Amino acid sequence: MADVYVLADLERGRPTDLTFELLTAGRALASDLHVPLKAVLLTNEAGLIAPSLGFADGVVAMSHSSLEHRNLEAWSRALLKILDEKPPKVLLIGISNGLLGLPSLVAGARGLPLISLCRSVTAHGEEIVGDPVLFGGKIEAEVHAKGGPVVVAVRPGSYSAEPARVQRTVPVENVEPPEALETRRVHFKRYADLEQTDVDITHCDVLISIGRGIQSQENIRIAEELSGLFRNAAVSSSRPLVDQGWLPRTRQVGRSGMTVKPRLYLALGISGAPEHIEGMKSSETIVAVNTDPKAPVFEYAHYGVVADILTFMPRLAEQLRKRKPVVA
Amino acid sequence: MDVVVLMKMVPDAAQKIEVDAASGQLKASTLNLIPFESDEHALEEALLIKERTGATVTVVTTDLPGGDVALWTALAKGATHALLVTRGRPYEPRSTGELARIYAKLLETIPHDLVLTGAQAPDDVEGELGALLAAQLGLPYISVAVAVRPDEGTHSAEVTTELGGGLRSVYESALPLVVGIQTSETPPRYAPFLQIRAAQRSKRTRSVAVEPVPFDPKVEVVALHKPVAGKGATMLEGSPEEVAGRLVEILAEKELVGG
Ligand SMILES: Cc1cc2nc3c(=O)[nH]c(=O)nc-3n(C[C@H](O)[C@H](O)[C@H](O)COP(=O)(O)OP(=O)(O)OC[C@H]3O[C@@H](n4cnc5c(N)ncnc54)[C@H](O)[C@@H]3O)c2cc1C
Repeated sequence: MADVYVLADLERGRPTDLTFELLTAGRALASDLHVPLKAVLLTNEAGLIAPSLGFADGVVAMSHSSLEHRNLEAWSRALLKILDEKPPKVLLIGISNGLLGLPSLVAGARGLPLISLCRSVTAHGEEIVGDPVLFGGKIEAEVHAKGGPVVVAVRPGSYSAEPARVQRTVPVENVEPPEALETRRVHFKRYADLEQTDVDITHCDVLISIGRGIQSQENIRIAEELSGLFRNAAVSSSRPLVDQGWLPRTRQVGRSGMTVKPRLYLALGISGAPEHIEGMKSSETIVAVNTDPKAPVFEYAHYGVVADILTFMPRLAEQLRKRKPVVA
Repeated sequence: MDVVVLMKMVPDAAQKIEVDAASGQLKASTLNLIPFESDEHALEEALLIKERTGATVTVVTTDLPGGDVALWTALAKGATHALLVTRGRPYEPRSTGELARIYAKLLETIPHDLVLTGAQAPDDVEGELGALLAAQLGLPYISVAVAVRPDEGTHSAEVTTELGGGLRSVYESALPLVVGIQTSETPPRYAPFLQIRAAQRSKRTRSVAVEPVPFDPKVEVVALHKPVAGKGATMLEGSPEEVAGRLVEILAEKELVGG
């Protein structure tokens, strides 16, 4: 009987939230298919981490020094050996930046069906169906896989992590590492932290967050003025502005940037692509301002305004100046 | 050192992307194709490598609308060679698997120490181009790169990747290597219009036909659709002044601004 596998995503040796989100997804799939749910653990010392994956019925583990950090070459060689020896029905891999590309490497090497960028995965009878989110959240698809094992790459934030945070002793099947790990060409060297010489946006109460809708670097000044009218506030942004060099990387919100939970997140001219939403969706109050009434960001905002931010920001500043700032 | 940059044309998500309700596919007539943004960063990273090491940079794309302009622009920015792969097929939001096979075949005929392409395109239903290509060619792959530093002496490269939350990791790999670029070390340079025209007239873009590669898709895109609207936001309506006033009242109720 083929299992549902969930690959554990690890950062600095600890399972990430994404790991638990995928275990939640995997559990629903496994019960629909009436098969066990197993966590796949690739690391240097599996025994230490396995109990934190207690939500699964079992753990399939491989331990090797080259697996300690997410090294796509080492991880794909390890996964291929597991898939060859113990083929599952489905393998779920989360799309963290650390694992991006791994589903394609594995599926590509064995000619397996792969459905990527999925927000959800379900079983229609025996058939695996994924629902990818495409084009910055503007289009969704329904994709059916033929044959198997099926590899499904799932977007972060698609399932709740909480139900799967179960600590218990689980049966562990150890798989011997392949020879191929010794001849790998890619070697992990080191972690490097981004220098934090700027404001730390993860500690702000209010973020005035700007996207490509700001149109020019000069206009950032208007957002700065707005930010000055709140207590403990700063200007943050989506990725394209940082990539253009308009703001420092420490201001970027999203998957590749910071995950923030301010009391107020004001999204100005940000479309709401899934990779941006991943970094701000837990904010207490989200207000989105966009000229496009169909912008995906309105799906995640509590309050929405259809307006040109270049007209709206000065009006908002005017109204705010009539108020006293709140003493924190 | 030979660097190859693979660019792909994708619909501009800043414009309307419409679905034909009857066929469940994208309305081809309304699509405006542009080079995938991270591919532009891949090109920039390649040009930085060229400036540092004297590497040749070969830029490749397919004959979708706009593909030729993307190549002229790349030449104007400083690429050494430009190749247009002729397929004669319209855009489909699921062709990455097939594209990987075509490029794998093409790379048999062009020297490559480093293959750079954008990481995670917005239409990668069947996976990422760079990773699928690496699997085809049996080459190592590193994704979400923000810096690529090849060393000719040791025939290896140091690659920095962006993990998020301010954390990066650094890898070293033997060449040849395929890299999925997220962002170049410095913003993509600008190509003046006159230089793009000059590149167009120079006829330096070469067309290559790649024999059709047998491809058996393992997944079926049954339907595309607009996202189903959920609860959504409470929309504030009125003139900008009224809306701004109403918003500040809401913020005051939440004690985010004073009374
Ligand atoms: C691996 C990976 C990691 C990523 N990580 C991140 C990340 O960490 N953070 C991130 O943000 N993105 C990230 N992205 C990119 C993400 O997919 C989007 O491309 C990006 O978030 C888009 O930014 P944007 O909303 O500013 O731009 P766009 O999507 O171009 O949206 C601009 C919006 O502004 C609106 N607009 C235009 N003019 C005006 C105006 N005058 N007034 C009001 N509204 C206006 C438009 O209607 C549109 O909705 C990542 C992508 C990948 C593949």
